[in-house]
Amino acid sequence: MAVMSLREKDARFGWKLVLPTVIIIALLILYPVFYNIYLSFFEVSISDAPNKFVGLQNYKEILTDSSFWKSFGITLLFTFTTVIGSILLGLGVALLMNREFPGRGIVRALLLLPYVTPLIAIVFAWKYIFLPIDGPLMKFLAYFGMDPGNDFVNNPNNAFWVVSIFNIWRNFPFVYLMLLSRLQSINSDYYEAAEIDGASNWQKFVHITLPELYFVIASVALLRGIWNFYKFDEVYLMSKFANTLPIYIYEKAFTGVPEQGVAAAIATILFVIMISLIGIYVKKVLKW
Amino acid sequence: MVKKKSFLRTLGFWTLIAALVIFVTYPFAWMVSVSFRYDTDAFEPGIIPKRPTLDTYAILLGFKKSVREELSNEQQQLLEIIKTLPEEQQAAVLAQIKAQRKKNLSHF
Repeated sequence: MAVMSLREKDARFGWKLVLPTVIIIALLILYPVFYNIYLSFFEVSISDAPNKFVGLQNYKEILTDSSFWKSFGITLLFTFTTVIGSILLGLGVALLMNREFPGRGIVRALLLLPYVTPLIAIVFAWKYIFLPIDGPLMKFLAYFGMDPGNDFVNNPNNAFWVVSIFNIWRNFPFVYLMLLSRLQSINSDYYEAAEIDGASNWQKFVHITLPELYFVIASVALLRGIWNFYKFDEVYLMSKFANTLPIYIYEKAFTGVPEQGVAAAIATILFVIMISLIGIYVKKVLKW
Repeated sequence: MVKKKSFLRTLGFWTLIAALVIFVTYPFAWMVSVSFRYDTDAFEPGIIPKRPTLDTYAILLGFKKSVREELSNEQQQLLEIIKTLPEEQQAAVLAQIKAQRKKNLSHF
């Protein structure tokens, strides 16, 4: 038996301790990822017949498919719109809620409602708001001379905006919470010092508040970006015509003639794009 | 911090808060409001129901039968028809119905 140093022994013992977790993580996360990559090189059969190897055929098919590029563009636009929208709204609300005013506690509690209500219930409420003729939004817009018969939700041209607004509404409380908790920990000495130097409110905001919030905003933007890039439930339940990539994948994989190999190839492409984007983002913006 | 508060600023601040609260709670309020309405009133305008009811909750918790359930109580009607049969036939007919049901179910 070879003699092991104490350090080696410790290392081995450590590995034994983490091994169960590592195996579970590998099974739960890595296996689906690699199985997906594997599938993307096959023509997946839905019957008992074995899958047929087609090499890069699936990828070729996608990259020359104009509807793929269209939904790719829509997904990027959706991600940017919702991330920027929810951060701006969340920042504004966090600044408001950072002031003292009577009833602040109850307003703060109400602000969390969009984030905690069950998705399907709130989707129906929003569909009602956008309902043609009877919906409150349509009635409101009719005062300004708009045709109340417009169906925003089921019109492919507008569905994107409906879904974006809904997504911003649902997710800004998350941003607001993160930003507010950071805002509360900013030392008020900075503001007092700035006031003595004669800084205006705007200058205080730009030179103290924003730099203090920088890393929180950047992290929240990263999280929201990842979530919204892959967002399926909120988009699909709200409108089936929004046509973002996750919905495109779903339609390829499960509706009509299922082409699961193609769907797997799209998912793989997204995975690669996302990994590289996150890598760049973390290096440049979060400065790790 | 020393701050001169003008009336306009305060007004603007509270308008913002009010707009925010309405924006956030309106869909939620509507959801709650509809839960206290009859199905037929679901699309009535206004956030306060004109004919408030606890019916939906009663149906949900099983204290009351929904319209859909009442329309489709075949089971009950069938049992009542069987009761009108002569006693010695009842058991045989019931057994036959059960066998039939099983056969139909097995298709799935």
